[in-house]
Amino acid sequence: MASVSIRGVVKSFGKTPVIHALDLEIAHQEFVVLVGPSGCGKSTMLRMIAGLEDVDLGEIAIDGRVVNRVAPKDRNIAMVFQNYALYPHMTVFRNMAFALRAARLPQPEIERRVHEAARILGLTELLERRPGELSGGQRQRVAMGRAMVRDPAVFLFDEPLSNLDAKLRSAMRTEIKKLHQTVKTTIVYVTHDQVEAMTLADRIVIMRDGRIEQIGSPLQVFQKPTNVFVAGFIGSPAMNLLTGTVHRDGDGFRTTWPGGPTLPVPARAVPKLTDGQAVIIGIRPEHVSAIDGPTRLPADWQIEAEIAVVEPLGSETLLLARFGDHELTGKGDGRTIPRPGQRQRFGFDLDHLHLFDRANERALT
Amino acid sequence: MTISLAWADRVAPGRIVAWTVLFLGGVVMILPFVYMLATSFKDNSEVYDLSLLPRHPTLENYVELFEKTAFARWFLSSLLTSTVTTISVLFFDSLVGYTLAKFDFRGRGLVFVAILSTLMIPTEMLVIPWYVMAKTMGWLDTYWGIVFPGLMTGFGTFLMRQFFDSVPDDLIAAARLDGLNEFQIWWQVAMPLVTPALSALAIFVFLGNWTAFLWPLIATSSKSLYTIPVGLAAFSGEYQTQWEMVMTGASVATLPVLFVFILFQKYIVNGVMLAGLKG
Repeated sequence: MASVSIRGVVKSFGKTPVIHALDLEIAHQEFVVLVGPSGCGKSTMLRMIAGLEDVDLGEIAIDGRVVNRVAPKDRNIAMVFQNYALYPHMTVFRNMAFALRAARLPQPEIERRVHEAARILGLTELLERRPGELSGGQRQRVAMGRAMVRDPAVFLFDEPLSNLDAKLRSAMRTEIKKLHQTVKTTIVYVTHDQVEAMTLADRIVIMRDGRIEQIGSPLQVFQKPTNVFVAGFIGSPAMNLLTGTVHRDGDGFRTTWPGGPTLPVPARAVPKLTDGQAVIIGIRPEHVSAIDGPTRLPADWQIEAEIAVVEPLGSETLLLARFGDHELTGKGDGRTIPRPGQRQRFGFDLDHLHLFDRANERALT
Repeated sequence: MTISLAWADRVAPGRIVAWTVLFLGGVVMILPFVYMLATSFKDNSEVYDLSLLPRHPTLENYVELFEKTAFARWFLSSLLTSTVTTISVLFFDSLVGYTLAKFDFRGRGLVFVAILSTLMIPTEMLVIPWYVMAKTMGWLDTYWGIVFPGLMTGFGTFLMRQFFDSVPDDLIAAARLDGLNEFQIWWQVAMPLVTPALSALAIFVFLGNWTAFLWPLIATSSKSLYTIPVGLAAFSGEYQTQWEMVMTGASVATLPVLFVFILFQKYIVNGVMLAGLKG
């Protein structure tokens, strides 16, 4: 059981910098997800924790011990790879027992650990099969089993679900969460899928271009994104981001964008605003609701737009609407589905309006 | 309906032409082999008769081959030198190939190009430096003298590098995390994944050495060290060649190769296809 400390870590490949002085503290038993677009350095960071890549500058410590110069096998970690990395010429049992044999554990102990992991993961029937005879989900479980039998201080997962179909991915997410609850080990998990990050993490670390953009609980990063990048990256469908300005209106401010309505700005943002300031207005699709009947929303919290694309999801309907030069994603209730081309009224839930400074893209709300 | 379609498909003109060409190709390939085998059962008077069936079949040549010549010894020499060379090539070429494919070090490209460039040099040119080297070191007329030039090959290194290149890096990373050292990773993880290439390389190297003539001829002078091709050449005299003995020796020499091929047919065909080489 262990904590992981990353202090001022820098990494370049040739002359291309990939990680810029990164600091991160991961607590004992914490499930931390590194998330970001391709090339943001999240996998490189994970491989540095594993010892598969050297650290150029800075320190990585596992349970207080600096491991920069410690071989991967001596770091007391286990890693699950994106493509599973199972040895194709060995049976499931041998795959799972491989590390234990390399560590010269006694045979009865090896058998006990492998069978225990196989029982937890539902692999007992498959122990004599080879990876080639298994489905994607089964292979993924073997990869997890192989990591589990070593009883490591830290589990590292490198995009483990990205090769699975949507249904299986969701099932495996649950398995991984259960695994964490069962073994209570520190987990560092890398993914580019923000849904995975939201559902699994105790804390999410959002990365871009080798830097951390925000660290927080799933709800924190969803409800209070610190900048435009995080606001656009976290949440599905993505937050609407519109280029606008704010203007003083009595004691408060109102905001608008070309061709858009003039909306009152939430009071919490007021201290940071100046008259005429250039902003990016952010509002999530779930706070842009299609209105079909009478409503108690003030008239200036509403707009009318032309429906461009309709995506029914059953319980609700995603509506891509156009007004002026802008596009806006909103949500309908799923009972009445408008047709493309139709005019539709939308109401804004302004309690959830986000404003970002257009100059530095930092949050103002 | 299905049957008639299948039949129409089978007798399609394209297929008939293909079969004919393949059949003729097969005959051309196999005829010298059959002629060799037939001649080994003929007596001296029949050797220049082109018939494929001996008029008076005899085993006399086989008896003479084993009783009056050192053929058995040559056979063992060939077996020893070919086996040692093959094992050595499989070991060293795959070790170097793996290193070139999976380790990033300064000068890696240069080393690879240098190894590749050795493929451009014909054996005939190499024989002189080999000879000088063998003479200087006192290796002439020894088994070591026969095998040393072939213990590592540029071709094998190239082939193995290409195959190791396709072994996923994550598999090697996983083995590293599992606690294996680099040599164990090569032996326990990477090698089992390139068995088709190893089989192909093994058969090429074994055959190449089994049929090698020029270097063993130069490197040896004692009859007891002759390999089969050198020994068989000794049946050709200044005035006449004992063709029936040459053919008998060649027939026996084919046996182990045939045996190896039948035993490992699946791997060899796979390996050759994977290596994209002509058999």
